[in-house]
Amino acid sequence: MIDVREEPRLRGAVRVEPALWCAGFAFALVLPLALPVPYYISTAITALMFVALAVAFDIVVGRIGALSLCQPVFFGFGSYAAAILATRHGWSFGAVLLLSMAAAVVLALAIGVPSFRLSLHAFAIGTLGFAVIAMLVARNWVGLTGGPLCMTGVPPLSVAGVELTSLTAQYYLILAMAAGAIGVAFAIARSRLGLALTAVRDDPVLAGARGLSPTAFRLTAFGISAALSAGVGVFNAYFQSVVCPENLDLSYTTALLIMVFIGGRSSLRGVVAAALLFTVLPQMLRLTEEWRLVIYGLVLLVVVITIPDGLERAFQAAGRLGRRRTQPTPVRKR
Amino acid sequence: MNGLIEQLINGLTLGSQYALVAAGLALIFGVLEIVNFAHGELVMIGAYLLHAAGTYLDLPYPLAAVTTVAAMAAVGALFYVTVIRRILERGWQVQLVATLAVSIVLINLAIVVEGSLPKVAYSELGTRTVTIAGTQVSVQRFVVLLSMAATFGVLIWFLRSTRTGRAMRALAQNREAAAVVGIPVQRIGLVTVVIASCMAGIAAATMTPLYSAHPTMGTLLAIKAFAAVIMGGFGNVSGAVVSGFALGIAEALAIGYVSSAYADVLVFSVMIAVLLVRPHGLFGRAVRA
Repeated sequence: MIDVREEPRLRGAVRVEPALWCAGFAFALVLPLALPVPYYISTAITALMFVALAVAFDIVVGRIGALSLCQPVFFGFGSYAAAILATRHGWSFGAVLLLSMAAAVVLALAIGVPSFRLSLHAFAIGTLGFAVIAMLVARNWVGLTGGPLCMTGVPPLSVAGVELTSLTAQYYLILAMAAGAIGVAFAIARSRLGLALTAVRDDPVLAGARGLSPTAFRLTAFGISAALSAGVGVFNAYFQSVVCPENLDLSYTTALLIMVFIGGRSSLRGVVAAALLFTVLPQMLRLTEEWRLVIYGLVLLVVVITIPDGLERAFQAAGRLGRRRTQPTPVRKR
Repeated sequence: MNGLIEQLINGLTLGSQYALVAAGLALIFGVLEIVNFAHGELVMIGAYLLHAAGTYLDLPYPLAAVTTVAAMAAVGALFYVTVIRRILERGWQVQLVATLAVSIVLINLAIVVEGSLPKVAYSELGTRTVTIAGTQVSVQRFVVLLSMAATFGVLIWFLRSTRTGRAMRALAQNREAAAVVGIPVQRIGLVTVVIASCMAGIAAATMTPLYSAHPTMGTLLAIKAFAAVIMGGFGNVSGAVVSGFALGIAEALAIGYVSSAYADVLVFSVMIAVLLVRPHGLFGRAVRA
């Protein structure tokens, strides 16, 4: 297990990381001005959606060490909630966003309460069961979701009376949401909540003995992650203007697992980097969907077997360059 | 009444398939403590092998089925050597994600190689029927039931009466202690994965003539087998078999009397309900974490 906060800080060492985050954000701010073709901007929007989703997913996988396989449920729930409320009931973006995020927390409790009764592997399979149920409902409850014909005609996005129809405007909106998700994950990592989550993850029995209820903390993290994912789902409905059962597909889980494991579990910088890498690179290589997934799978397999800490290990190695040698952080078997 | 008998026979054959797949999963979990997310894809490979043996090699069905099961032993050995052996001593998240990655690779390779359209595997027994209580039943369904019964007979004999079978059970109880008394963990692990793979091959070889082979056929099958494994108590092979049959019959009845679209929803709701009441499964004691 690698935890950034526990790295011994060397006296006089320059802290590069905050500067890098700021530079990255500044780069993201000016990026639309540099991208000539709308195609690239929509690629950037997709990349940012996955950044937010992967960061939210890592709050569950990395922070509490529970391998949830039902993350697309919350994303798809947000998308469908937005499509249904906006097209049939004329709700505004802000209202839809708030309601979906709140409802996603309730949904997370409904899934989490029974699922967290299960131990490790069984939790993964139990949540997978919920993911399949959600997909079947989206496909078959035609009256509510439109079934395989999808929900079409989601109205254009508008915030506080201003229509955000241009791709650039939508880019800034999702940038703000992704930054928000990173901010939440960062705040959790630095807060007492983060410490409690780490305690619950690393030794639930000991944490329980110290008065921290493992289930309560796991549910908290699960709920936060669900709310963030649903928020991205709402944006996705407006961005695509159509919501299909494929939005709940298990391939989203696959993509998120790849990002979190290649980035390095509970490493914010690793997960963000991996999410960007794995949305932008395939677009550049213009592979077909099937070959892309074959290669993804092989990369995931090799990474998880050979370097289970992913990019985080590379970052740590880079961070140590030119410094006095420190004790390597012990890697816990997980 | 005819409808009920038909659905029960459908349920029994479906249940045989789930039981074969679930028992393989439970075996791998019980002996090696690995949840194999690529198990459904082993069935998918078996189905394509049967299709290939019938179509390209022009073998008659019984020979094609035997060839398929033999080839699945080789597939299992390859799977063990390339993947399972490397993750045997790793953390559970790494194991789970590694087998999930194998499943993604196999599904999409199947799409690349064979296309996503279903392929049929012909069996002359599939079209021949007998009439039971006024219901026409395909002879192939009896092949499914008989091969399932024979497989479990052999498996129980093997686990109880052979040295290797006893070594597998020792490994399941305590891997370190088994290694200390000189049981070759690697070789027993290989045997376990090969047996589980052959059982997936038997499920594929007998069921595919009734349905068809397509790249994503393993996904839902594996999830239902997981449901049976959880309900049966993790690592409990006979519990998984009983739950597999229960799920198959429940699903067939749901298809017949409720709605085919929501039959799967019902199956997973049953799984979740069982977990709510008994988190360690119907037949399981506390699960080893």
